[in-house]
Amino acid sequence: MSATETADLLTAVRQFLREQVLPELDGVKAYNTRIAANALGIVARELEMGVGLATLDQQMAVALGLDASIASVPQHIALALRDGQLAVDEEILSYLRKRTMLAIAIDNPKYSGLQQARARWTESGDA
Amino acid sequence: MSQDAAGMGAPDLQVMADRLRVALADPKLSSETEHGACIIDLHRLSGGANMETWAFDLAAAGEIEPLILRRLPGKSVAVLSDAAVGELSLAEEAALITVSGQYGVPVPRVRQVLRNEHALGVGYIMSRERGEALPFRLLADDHFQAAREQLAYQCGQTLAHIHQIPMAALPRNLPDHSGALLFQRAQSLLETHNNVSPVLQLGLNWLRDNQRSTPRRTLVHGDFRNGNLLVDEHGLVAVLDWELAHIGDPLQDLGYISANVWRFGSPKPVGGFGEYADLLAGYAAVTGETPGMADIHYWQVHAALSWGMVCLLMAQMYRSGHDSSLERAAVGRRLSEAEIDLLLLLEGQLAAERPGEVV
Repeated sequence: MSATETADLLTAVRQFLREQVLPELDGVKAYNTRIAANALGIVARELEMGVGLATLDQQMAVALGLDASIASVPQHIALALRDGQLAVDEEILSYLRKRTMLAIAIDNPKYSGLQQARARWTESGDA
Repeated sequence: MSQDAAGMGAPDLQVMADRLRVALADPKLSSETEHGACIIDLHRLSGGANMETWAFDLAAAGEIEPLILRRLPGKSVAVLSDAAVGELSLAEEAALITVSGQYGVPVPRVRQVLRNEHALGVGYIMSRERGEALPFRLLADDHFQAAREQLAYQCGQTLAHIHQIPMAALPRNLPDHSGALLFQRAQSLLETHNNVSPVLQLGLNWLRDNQRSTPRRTLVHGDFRNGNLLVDEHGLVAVLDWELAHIGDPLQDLGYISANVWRFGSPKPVGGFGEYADLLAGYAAVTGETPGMADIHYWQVHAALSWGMVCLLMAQMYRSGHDSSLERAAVGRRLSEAEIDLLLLLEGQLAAERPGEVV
């Protein structure tokens, strides 16, 4: 199955939940149905944009001279920051901003922090 | 539908209602009078899979009393439940609400702390106050226009009252998050969740490196935000959700009510409904002291880190199988909200952006 078809399937289920199931429900079940539809939206956006996260991580791994087989670049940086082994320079900061903007664009693109971050950082060349 | 959200059928609900009636019976009244009491419209409100919140009315002696039950069902206290987000037992929470009410904080009235013989689990019954706690309604509905204008000032006053409760009056065993304990707790939580977020670590490092010079130690509500405040058309009616209460720096609560994540998309900095100046004026009206914006900023960074840590905890509750609710799984994905807020708050605050300073 191609990625497009998967995305279509997700859209169809999401629409079904929102337009046909949700109007029949109230209370906790309506609340959870909204969460379910939102969750499918996250999956759809991750299918579309998730590869960007991996690309950013690979670029950072190269810049830091890390082994290509490293399990998680973010975890590596978190541990190095914890241990004081990594100074937060412009390169690290730029990576963290780009990666976080992409993550929130997948998880919750309506979040106000994303609009603020784009306004501040996108033109300055961070994304 | 034959079952409610808790998966209980009608017979189970009747048993529960009977037990509530017995738990609420006034021992001074004769059993005949008591027999006339009944529980009406018992239904579960939304909430976690473990911690339950129920609404019902007690009808007795011709009067209707609206009530709320907060409980962990079953005989044993769950090891990792909603309660584990905080560290306060439900009985301590009830005691804290009662004390806060005595010191001028608007809170529900605790009606009955559950005991083993009530067979309703662990928890307490409190008054159900009128008002709205749903953030979007509070921020959007014209009905709350006048309330919104008062609310930041009232939040300042109310936080001041919370922070002025004498330590000796507080329940014992409140968790202590003051001083270095705050950083130790946060670091250990990041370890527990496999250090997945460099941004949360960055935030924690900044908090540790920029500690406030003269922190005080008081009761901190710990979850004082839009969503946990019951509001009517005149303003604040009651402060809810005390399960994250602890001992710490009181200014933490002022940064928390001003955190971006709890503005629900509104541009207004305090809870999405008010301005910093009103919050600080309300606080100063009671304490005589006006906290500085640097303090607010510091505790906004902490509030963003805290939200990130809650997201990690929720995701873990789901993964561990302890709480298989959809809500838990989904909240884990909100970690990136905390991360973007941290990066926004820390812009211009990190050594890399201050050339000439020794790193």
